[in-house]
Amino acid sequence: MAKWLEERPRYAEFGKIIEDELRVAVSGAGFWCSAESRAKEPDSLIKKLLKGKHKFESLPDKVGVRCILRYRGDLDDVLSIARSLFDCSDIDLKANGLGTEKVGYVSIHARICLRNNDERAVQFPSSLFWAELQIRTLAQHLWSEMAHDSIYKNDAMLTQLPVDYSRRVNLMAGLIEVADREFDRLSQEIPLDSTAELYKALERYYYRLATRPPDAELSLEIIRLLEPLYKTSWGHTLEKLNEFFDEHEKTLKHIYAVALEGPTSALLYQPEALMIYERLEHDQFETRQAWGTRFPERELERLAVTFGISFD
Amino acid sequence: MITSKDLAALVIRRVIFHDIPQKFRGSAAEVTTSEIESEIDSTRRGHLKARLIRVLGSKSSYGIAFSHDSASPVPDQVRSYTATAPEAREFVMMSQKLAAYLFEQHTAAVSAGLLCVLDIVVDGAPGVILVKLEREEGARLELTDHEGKRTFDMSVLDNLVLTDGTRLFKTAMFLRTGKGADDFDSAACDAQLGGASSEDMAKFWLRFVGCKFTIEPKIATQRFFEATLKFINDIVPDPIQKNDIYEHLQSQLKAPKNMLSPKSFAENYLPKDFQKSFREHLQVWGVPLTSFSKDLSDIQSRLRRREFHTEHGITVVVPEQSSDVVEITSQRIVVNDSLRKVDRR
Repeated sequence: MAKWLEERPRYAEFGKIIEDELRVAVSGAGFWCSAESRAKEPDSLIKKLLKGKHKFESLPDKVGVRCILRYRGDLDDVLSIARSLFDCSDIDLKANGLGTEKVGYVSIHARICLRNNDERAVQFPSSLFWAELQIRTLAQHLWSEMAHDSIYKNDAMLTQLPVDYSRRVNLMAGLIEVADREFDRLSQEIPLDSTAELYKALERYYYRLATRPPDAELSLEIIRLLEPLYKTSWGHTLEKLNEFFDEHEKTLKHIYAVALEGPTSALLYQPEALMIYERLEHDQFETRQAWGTRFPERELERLAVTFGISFD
Repeated sequence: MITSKDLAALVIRRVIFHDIPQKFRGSAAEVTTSEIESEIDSTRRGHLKARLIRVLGSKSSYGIAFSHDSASPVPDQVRSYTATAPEAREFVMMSQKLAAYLFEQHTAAVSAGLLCVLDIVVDGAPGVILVKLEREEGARLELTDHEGKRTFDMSVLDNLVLTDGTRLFKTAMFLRTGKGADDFDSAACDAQLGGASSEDMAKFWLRFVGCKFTIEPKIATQRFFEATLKFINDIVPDPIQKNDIYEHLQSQLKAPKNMLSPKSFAENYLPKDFQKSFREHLQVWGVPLTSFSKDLSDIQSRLRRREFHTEHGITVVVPEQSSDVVEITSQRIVVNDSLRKVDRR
């Protein structure tokens, strides 16, 4: 116990390094993600050791890192990202173990550590510092949290769960898997109008810069207002935005990093901020005119200044 | 050329204020210098940056470059300060030298003010920004003592820099782009230049910073005039619109203002549909979109008009360059042109 109390902060620091690097890379690839890490609580560690299956040195999950995504279609891509960043081994696709007739826990687990050529590996050598990585969708996370933590873990301590209860919990896993698959399909199949298509594209750029959740309703309203200014198809508009993002990525990254230090325009934390920036650089006068028909100019000016653009 | 990208990426590292009093004949007024930089929190830093963006990115800002025949110490101070990674003490000394020189240049006609010197960095490139803020005579400025050294506290920023009022604000920004003595992107802005202030007052700030306009005023004015005429002739199809724009061109060039902003000209006098193509046209012609100092010496004759007044009170006005379309005999005036429109007054 004393050993873990002494070493835990370093393990927590190690977990945070993995969490941050993964979050930046996954967001940078345009995926929405929520990442978290934790070093095992001392009481939890003791309980695990008391069961006698592991010794302190071989305990598998002293540090856990979790990456939660929206769609199951993103899982493989994010696993690839993790593999490109760290040494990944013991990759366990939990769904494979269920076969065709069972339902239940379906996250991806892997053991990850810093690569030997990573300069931080001197401080956190892979022989001692490795984490259990879990990659899962929001739906998988819901079932896991509710079933595993609230029902199995707590109640199992007190009494063996009757078969019927276990069956009902597993049936819910099936239901949630159906919902998970359906959301994934819907995200790809729903016919979107040009505004929604632009929103989806802008959202991808946005998550490369920030993680704060935007107001989608406001986004759609602003995109609808500015889209006609492009006077072209949404496909061409997207090409322009793509080019603009590439040219301004460094500046945008700086702007979003600085924005964390103090008050800034609320519009900066909207995916369409990129579109507004592009329009202001392209034709400030026309953009201001269009904006003025629906929103106060003062808000646009605050955002413009953040992008280094003066209205004076 | 300072771009919006530069301004967006601008980071303020250090700020210092010095009080420059008005210089009356026989008065013993002296500069009140800070001995250490002012401490500013991140919120004020953000507001100060926004204020600088509004000014340096405005239509009134103009490109400048170090002048080689200037007596001002500003170019050399900026060059040497940005050539190394200086410490706080060097920043204070450099800013004090600039404050002393500014006071030396003051005359009784120049109002009292604060010189604010900023150490900045843009995407790894070091730079310096100078701001002169006018202040009312007698306005209280709080000097505080920090570890035995005198400095202005943050209330200066709140009262003079961050207010939305119309305080006059002269600025110059120098951003190092390479190792050479002239490897700088620089811009300046002077609120007084937009008005009808005297030529001497208008040039005061440029003299202080030891700079000249990036494009000679005479050349910028001629290019703007030629490019606008070409645009009117080749791009604008409607004769009435052609005439309107031409009239505005004449009036803006002749207006008693020292500076002209092509961007403002487009916004104020061109029909909406032509604004963007006009700006692009000017860029092709190498005309700056931001302000330039007007110098009409090379186009003076082309702006003049000749007026013919008849016995019956009729006036014929002709641009001097087209005066050959008018034939005058003892009893007749013939205008060899086609009628475009008739106005009733």
